[in-house]
Amino acid sequence: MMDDVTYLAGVIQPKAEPLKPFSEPVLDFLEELSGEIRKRRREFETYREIPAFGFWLRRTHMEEFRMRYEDGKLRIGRGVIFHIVSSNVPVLFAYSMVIGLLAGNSCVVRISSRSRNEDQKLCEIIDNLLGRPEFSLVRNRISVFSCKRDNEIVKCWLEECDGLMVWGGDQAIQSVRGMKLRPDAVQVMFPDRYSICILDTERIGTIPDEGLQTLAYGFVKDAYAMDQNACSSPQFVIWNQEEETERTEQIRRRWWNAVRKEATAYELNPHKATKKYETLCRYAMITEEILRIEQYDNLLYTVLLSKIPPNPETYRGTCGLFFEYQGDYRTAVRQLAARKLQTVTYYGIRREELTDYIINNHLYGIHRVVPIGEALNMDLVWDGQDLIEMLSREIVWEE
Amino acid sequence: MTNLETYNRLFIRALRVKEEDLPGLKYRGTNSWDSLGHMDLISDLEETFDIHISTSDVMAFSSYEKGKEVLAKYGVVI
Repeated sequence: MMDDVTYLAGVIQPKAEPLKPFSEPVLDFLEELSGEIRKRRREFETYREIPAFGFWLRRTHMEEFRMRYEDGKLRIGRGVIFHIVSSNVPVLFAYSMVIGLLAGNSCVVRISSRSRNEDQKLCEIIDNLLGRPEFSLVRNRISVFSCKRDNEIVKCWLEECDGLMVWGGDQAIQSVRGMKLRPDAVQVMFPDRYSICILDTERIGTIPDEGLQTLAYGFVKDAYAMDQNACSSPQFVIWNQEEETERTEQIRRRWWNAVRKEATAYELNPHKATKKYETLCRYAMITEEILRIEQYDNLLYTVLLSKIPPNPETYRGTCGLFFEYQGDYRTAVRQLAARKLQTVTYYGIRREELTDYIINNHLYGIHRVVPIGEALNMDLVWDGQDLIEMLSREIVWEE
Repeated sequence: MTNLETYNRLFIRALRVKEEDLPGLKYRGTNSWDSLGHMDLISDLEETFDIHISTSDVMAFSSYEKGKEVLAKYGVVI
C-alpha cells in the first residue's frame, strides 16, 4: 500500500535530532523561502494564500516570534512531529510544518490525496529550495507526502512520531486517537470550531462610507476566503445594541450593503450558489428563532434570529450566509461560548471588557479575540494552546 | 537620499504609481494597492529601514500619510 504515496518535498526518512527552537538554519531557510515566494509572487495572482504565507514567513516576523520565547527557559525540540492536515484550508500544511520546525523538530507532513493546486505548487517551491546544498540540514528534517487516509505509512508514522498535530476536525481526531501511538507522544489537536463577529451598532453607524467599506473588506476577507469554511470564519454577527429602532435597522442594512459590495470580488460558481441556497432552505425549515431572511443578490444571505438557538455551534453558514442577533453582546456571548467557539472578531466594543467577561463568567469557549480582518492570521498560540511550548520540551534544572 | 525620497521611491516601485499620485493615496484607492501590493510595500519598507512592522500596524498602514505616522513609531521620521 505504500506504493500509493507521493513524495512532494524533502526526504523519505527524515533525521529526528531535536534542535533548539528558532535555530539559525531553520530561520535562514524560512527567510529564503519567504524571499523566493516574493520573487515569484506574480505567478500566484490566483493563489493568494501563497504570498500571504510568504509574508507571514518574513524574517522580521519570525524574529518577533522568537523574541516571545526569550524568557531564559531551556527548550529543545521533541524529535519528529507528524502533521495530518485536511485539504479544506489551502497552504495550512505549510503553516503547521513551519511551526513544527520553529519548535526544533523534524516534520513529517501528510497532505490529503485530494490536495489542492496551491499545496502542490508550494511543495514544488519548497522542494526546489531544499535541493540547494546550503539547506541540506533542513532538507533532512522535512518529509511532505500525500496519500489516502488509511495508507499504511500513516499508521507507521503514528507509531513512530514524538508528536502529532492534527488539523482536520472531530472525525479525523477520533480516527487517529483509535490508532496506536507512542505512549509519550504529544498530541496537538485542532477539532471543529466556529467563530463569530461582534459589531457595536452605534459605532458602526458613525463610520464614514470609506471607512465602512474598508471594514467590510476585512470582514469579507475573514468570511469568504475559504467559502466561510475555516474555523475562524464568522458564522454569527452579533449587533450590540439596546433596542431595535429604525436607525439601527438602517445601520444594519448599510453594513450589509457594504459587505455585498466587497463580496463582488468573491467567485460564486453555480455549485457554491446551489449549496448556499440549499443551506439557507434547510435552516429556514428547522430554525424556530428566525425573524427575517434577507438576500443581497446571491452573494450574501442573512438570517436574523430572535434569540441564540440551542447548539449554536451547529449553525454553519457557507459561501456568505450569516446568522444575526441584535441585543446586548454579553447575553449573546454567554450562550454562544460553547467549547467550540474559537475566534471573536469585533468592532466598536472594548476588547478588555470582552476578555474580562470571558474570565469572570467562567466561559468554556472563545480562544481568540482579534479585530475584523485578522481572523485568519495564524499565530503560534492557536486554539488556546502555545504550539512552541507543546512541541518542544523544557529542561528544568537545579544546581 | 532623504527618508522622504526613499519612502516615495518604495511606494512608486511596489505600487507602480507616479510621484504626483502619492499625496492622499489610500489602501485600496488604486488597483495596485490591494492586499498583494500591501504586502510588497510593507516588506520593502521593513527591509529598507531595517524595522519590523507589527501585525496591527500592518493593518493600520492605510494611506500614504498614515504610513508616515506608523513609521514614526519605529523611529523612522519621514
